[in-house]
Amino acid sequence: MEIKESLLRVENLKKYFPVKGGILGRKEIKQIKAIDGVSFDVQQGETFGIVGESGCGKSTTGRTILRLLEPTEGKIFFQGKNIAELNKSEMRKLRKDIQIIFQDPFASLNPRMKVREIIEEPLINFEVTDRSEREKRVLEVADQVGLTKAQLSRFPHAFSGGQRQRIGIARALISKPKLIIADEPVSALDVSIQSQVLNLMRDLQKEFGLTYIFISHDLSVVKHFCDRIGVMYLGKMVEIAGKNRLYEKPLHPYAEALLSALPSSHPLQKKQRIILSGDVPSPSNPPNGCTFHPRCFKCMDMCKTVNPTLQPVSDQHSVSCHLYHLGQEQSAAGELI
Amino acid sequence: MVQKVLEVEKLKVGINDDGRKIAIVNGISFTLEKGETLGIVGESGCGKSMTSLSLMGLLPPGVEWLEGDIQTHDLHFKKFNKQDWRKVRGKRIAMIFQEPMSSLNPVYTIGKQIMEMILSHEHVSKQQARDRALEMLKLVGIPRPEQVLDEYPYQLSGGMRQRVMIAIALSCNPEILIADEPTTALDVTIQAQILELMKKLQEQLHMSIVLITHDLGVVAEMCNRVIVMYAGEIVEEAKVVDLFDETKHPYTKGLLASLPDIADEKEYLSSIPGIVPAPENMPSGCRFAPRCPNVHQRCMEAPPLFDVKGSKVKCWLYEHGDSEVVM
Repeated sequence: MEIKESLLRVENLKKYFPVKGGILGRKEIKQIKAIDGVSFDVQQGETFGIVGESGCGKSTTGRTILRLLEPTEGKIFFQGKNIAELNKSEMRKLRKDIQIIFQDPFASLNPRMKVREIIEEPLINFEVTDRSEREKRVLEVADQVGLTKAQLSRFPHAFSGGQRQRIGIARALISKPKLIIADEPVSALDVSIQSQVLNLMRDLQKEFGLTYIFISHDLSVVKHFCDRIGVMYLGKMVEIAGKNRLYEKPLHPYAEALLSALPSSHPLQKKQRIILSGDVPSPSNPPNGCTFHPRCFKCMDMCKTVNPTLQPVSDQHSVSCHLYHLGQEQSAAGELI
Repeated sequence: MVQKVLEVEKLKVGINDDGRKIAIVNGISFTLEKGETLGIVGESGCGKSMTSLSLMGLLPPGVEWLEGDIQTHDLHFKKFNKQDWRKVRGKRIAMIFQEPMSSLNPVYTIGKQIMEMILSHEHVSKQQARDRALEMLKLVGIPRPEQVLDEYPYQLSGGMRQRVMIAIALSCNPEILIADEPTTALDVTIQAQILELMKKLQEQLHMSIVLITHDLGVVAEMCNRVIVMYAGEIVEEAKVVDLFDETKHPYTKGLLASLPDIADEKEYLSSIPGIVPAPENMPSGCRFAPRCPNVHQRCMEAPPLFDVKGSKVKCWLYEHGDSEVVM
């Protein structure tokens, strides 16, 4: 694989939300560690997937990179510049280059604006003052995502879920961004519509050389769409690998269980399944040591006290688990529940 | 001989808009056998949820039962009044819903909600009902059941709430369980737990399950037989293996092809062009015709369900049995 320049590099990113309590409700009594030290990089032109279950911090990661949420700690390098340090107006200008597509196509479009206005708005924000120029861009982008000219004068309620998502994509695309963060873009859609939208996103990536961060809970969609994938659990990245590597041989026990939980694609294909016991612990009170240890089927003594860090095990493959950093890989094999 | 526990006959459910009847579920018939799991799949708006709600007599206001009947043993649901429904719901047929968050009452304890079901159907004392509730919580695998009995829904996670829903549904030992998207709101690792639990309980209690879902993976995992619905009609009915291996209806084929496959590397997914037509705007012939890759002259007329080697298909391509015409 050729070495490309990192478009985005995230280092030790943290986002803690305060929980207020006390008599007046003003005192900060604890913190919810929504993301707790996440690091990864995204190469120019690739699709980086972030998977995990609800509450693992994948959406928070996406929003913190765009600084829709202010990071508590950490660095975000975009084209070599740390954007965590930018002030508001500088950041606003930078959002021309980083755009986002949201999950819910029903809630993310203003119902009182016409489709034309929704798509045009970013251009006004980014100070494209020439009206005819804006009009030209809107038509161009609408055509690229498969919306007709007549549809532009209608309101969002007149559209189905799939078409609304096209509007959302057009809005993200109009400022000619370099990076698009797609936060569960197809989760609210039926499968036949989901494939239409995924195909469209792939076409656009080819045409404009886009880079995507694709956030999803759907493992088969992520496998289909992404080049490299990061698996998150309770605010931490537990494994990062190329998609084929990850799906063939996941290293982290959580990634292994997650992939085995996927329903089979054929009734006669019986999978050996690792059923995890219990639920994800609350991020306000994460377990000591490795946060996965209470549910882990390969838990060792040290996992209860020492928190593992994400370390490379080979080129392009990192995992945050003691099993792989002590040369104990063999002892961990076998033992399925 | 297989025993039928439920028979749906030409069921038609719809909206009565000033005398103009718009059918949401348009004359579907199927049967449910003892001990089997029947899947009903389809995309949003295909009528699968309305079908399940009519089995429970829970159609929302404004939606009417237009024609047809549902029968379990000697009971005809069509003739039911409120009182009759009450006796059947929970006792003979029970249901679990998609949203375990919103289908439990937030102001009553878990124990009380399970006991309510038991007390309304059986002549037992409160203490007996409470004992049974505890037993049910153990059965569905809830840790520390004694405490959970006195806890409120907000204290439980999504997966635990769905277990409680299952406990309530099964507390009067129903013959039929209707599960409407039981795992859609849950994460995959929790989904795996719940599906495993449902399989175990089915074996233990010899129930029949109607599983309504949009997820073909869940179907592959759970079902014996499958009904595929499109725009309010059944387009294909088959044994689960046949549905995957000898897919017949063009819609089912399109649906399976548009799923991303973990094992298969494809750059683009195939997709079904267009969208599902609105109920008031149905095409007069075959309802899938405007989106169908195999559409031809004949499709201007609505096809019946043809019997093809143990399956049923609503498509003119199968008019002469399995000699499929390749267009």
